Amino acid sequence: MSSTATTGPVPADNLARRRRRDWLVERLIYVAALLAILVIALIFVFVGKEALPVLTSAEVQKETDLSKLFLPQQYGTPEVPLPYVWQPVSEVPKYSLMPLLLGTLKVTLVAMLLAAPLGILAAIFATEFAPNWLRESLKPLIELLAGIPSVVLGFFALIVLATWVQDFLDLDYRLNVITAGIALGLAVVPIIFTISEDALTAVPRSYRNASAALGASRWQTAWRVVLPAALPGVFAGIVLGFGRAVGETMIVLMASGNAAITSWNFTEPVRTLSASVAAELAEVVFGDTHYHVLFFIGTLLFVITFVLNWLGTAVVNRMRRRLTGAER
Amino acid sequence: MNSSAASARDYPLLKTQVQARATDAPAPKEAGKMGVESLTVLYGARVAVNAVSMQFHSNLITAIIGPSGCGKSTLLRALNRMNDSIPGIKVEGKVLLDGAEVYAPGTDVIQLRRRVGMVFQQPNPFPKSIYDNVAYGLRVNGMAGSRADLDSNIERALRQAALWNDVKDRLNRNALQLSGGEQQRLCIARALAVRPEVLLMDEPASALDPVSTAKIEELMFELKKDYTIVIVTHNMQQAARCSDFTAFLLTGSLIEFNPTASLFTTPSDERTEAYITGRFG
Amino acid sequence: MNRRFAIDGVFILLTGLAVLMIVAMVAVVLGNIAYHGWERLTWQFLTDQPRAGMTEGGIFPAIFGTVLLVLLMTLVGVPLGVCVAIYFSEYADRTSRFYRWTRQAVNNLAGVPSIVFGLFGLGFFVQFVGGAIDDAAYAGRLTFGQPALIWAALTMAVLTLPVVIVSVEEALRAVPQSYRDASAALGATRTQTIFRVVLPNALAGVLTGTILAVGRGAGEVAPILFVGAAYFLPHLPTHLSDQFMHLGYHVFVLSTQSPDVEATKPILYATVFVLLGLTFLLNLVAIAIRTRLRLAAAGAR
Repeated sequence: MSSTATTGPVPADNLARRRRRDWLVERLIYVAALLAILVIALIFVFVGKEALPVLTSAEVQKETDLSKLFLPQQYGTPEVPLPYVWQPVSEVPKYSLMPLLLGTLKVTLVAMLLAAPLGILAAIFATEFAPNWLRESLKPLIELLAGIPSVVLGFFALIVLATWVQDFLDLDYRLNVITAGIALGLAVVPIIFTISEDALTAVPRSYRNASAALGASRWQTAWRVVLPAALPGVFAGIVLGFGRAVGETMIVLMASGNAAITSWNFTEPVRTLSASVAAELAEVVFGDTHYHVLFFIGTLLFVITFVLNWLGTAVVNRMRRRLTGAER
Repeated sequence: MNSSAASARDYPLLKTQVQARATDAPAPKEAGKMGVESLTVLYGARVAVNAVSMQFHSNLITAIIGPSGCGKSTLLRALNRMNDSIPGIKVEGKVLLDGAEVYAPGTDVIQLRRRVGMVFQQPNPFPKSIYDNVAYGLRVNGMAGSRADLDSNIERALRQAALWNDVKDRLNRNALQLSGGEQQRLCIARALAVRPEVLLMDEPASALDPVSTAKIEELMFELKKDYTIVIVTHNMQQAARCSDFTAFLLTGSLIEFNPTASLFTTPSDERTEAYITGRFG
Repeated sequence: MNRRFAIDGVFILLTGLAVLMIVAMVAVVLGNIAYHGWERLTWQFLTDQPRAGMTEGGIFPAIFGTVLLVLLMTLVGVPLGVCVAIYFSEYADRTSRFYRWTRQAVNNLAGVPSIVFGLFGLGFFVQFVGGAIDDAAYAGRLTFGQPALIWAALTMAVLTLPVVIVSVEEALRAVPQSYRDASAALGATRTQTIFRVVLPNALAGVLTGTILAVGRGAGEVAPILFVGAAYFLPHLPTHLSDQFMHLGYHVFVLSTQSPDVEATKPILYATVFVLLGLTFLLNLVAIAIRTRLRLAAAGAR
């Protein structure tokens, strides 16, 4: 053996100690992963738990039940029939969810009408026509947009945008579906852009080359070859954006006027599901019907966004797997 | 035993590269420091190594040659159980270290890997200093001891890897700043630091320039005085130059295992002869 | 031929216009806020207490509360996120049911509406856990069973968990497999390999994840509406059971519940400016780190 041998082979206790530590750390890591599952389950359980009385408690069902929440009722007067009214704070509390559902739908529709074309077209520009430097500077910009807190967008819509929209369209109400919808659309653009851009980039270069070799112009290639190939991913982006819009709270809370009106008029205020919870939870008595209905709304939102997200990520995963062979 | 000796002797260059070795080397069938008995390795249904039996003797260099995909790397990695983490892998047969089965349940794989070190094809020093690279194995195995002990062990390892004089003044520099050949010698030093008994080398010089390759080969001659070396190489001339025993693998099966001198001058199997004369692979 | 290229040009222009519109909208929002918020932005503003019904003074308590919240949130959320990311990157068997469930759980967590987090914070942390603590340690006296800093921090930690996990996992995966091989071949255990070789090389990802989480923590309001945030507090929070002021919450209340909107507008704009500036800075830093990380990974390959 050459030169100075000052230490011998591994001390025996070291091996045992390392094995024990390895075992412990592995257990801890698995517990952490388990916690992730636990958390989402806890959310469902604890939000759903407070919503359950709407379905199970006779006490609560004297005031409201599933049919009262969703089906037309006999509110109002024979002259002015009001089938759906959300007025939990009144002498005779009225708990129809339809005005809120409609409100959510209207605002989300406006947001998607703005965000989807903008997001998709911008993604097409970024992947197909923009020079490299522009594409690389666009991505951080969109990320910065995504980083704007929704309360800031809500603030802007409330203080500035509402006035502009009201003046420009000569509306009666300052806070309405259009104003909130625009701000909400701005919040949703980054999701649609990012996922569409991923989908478009995933389309193999060979498709574009083949199309160009056949004499197609850049736009024709983009519109007739690349976009159709990326459609599943783009669709997923829209679905996820829709889910985000449905769940968004602060923007609608601040800019939609918070009036539970049932109509298809987009120039009137609305109240969305999320905003109702945010606005009214502070004033409810713990344990009364209103409290339970609000948690019911929360559960509803959770389930809706759960389904939308599951759909969207399933498609995105399939797309990613085809591209890289790796699943997220 | 079919002898196509005539054709092998027609390649004088190859013959001159084979050095005559002392004949006190043990016969191929005697038990060595490490050995494999009917070793079969499967990736799912695909057979990568097919019932290979051979011995690796102390203080000797055993080379494993063969065309790409013949299973030589898989065989090598089976010796220190580096294949364990590959999903779907199945190992049958025996791998023995000092007569003890390496794949027996209850074998301490950590201990095994300290005793059987490995150098990879692509030099892969950690993004740490040269000192910390060599010290890594000592530290994780609890062999570090005092600072003076650590220093002397690191010096020993770097000297054994013929790198000490090149780096002794810059031990704190980042290892990634070294040249390819220096990085590979650093990886050898790192492996030697924990005092392995066997050193496995998976095409250690294939990513290096000729000068670095020559240095590594010189190094191997020195190292075999203290270690058992098994080297996988696709470079036949390298095997002929450096090794004492050579094994020729073809599609997972061991075709021939003999002292290097006789395998390259009088191959006992026509497939071996075809390979070493360059007719395929 | 020429006409086709002309039509082509129109459509390309259309897509470019879309980009321009987005950029313009962002610029308008930022510009408006910067323009109106700038004048009030002084050192006084950042260090002073609010006065005269939020029409004078500064927003120091809101900054303090936000910092405290974010600190606690990070303390709990980042280690947990790192552990889950380590699971995904180093331990998980892709084919196992546990892996798929965990992956689904994290994906779903990312999609939960922020108001539902608020309900969770209220129903689970405040009422369930807080109530239990009160019964066990305070003989039923209302201490933790009400909106509190700790519950808001835990709620936000849960909300930002996916952000941390995604960033850290990406960084862990970027560490070359050859490092793990080399470490294993030297006789290191998996724990040693992860904590001595892999994780140190993924620190940039941990940083990015933390910074992005902090940005969300400062800006998200809905989760903390009834879990701990308050509009005006006479004292700064000193206990985990205290309520706290928060930049985002402050903007919300000032915008919607101020008796004289015109009078509070300057303060409001300045607060928004601070909040926006903070989140922008954090996001820029995170993006810079991540870009450098990605370039380095691509270069090493």
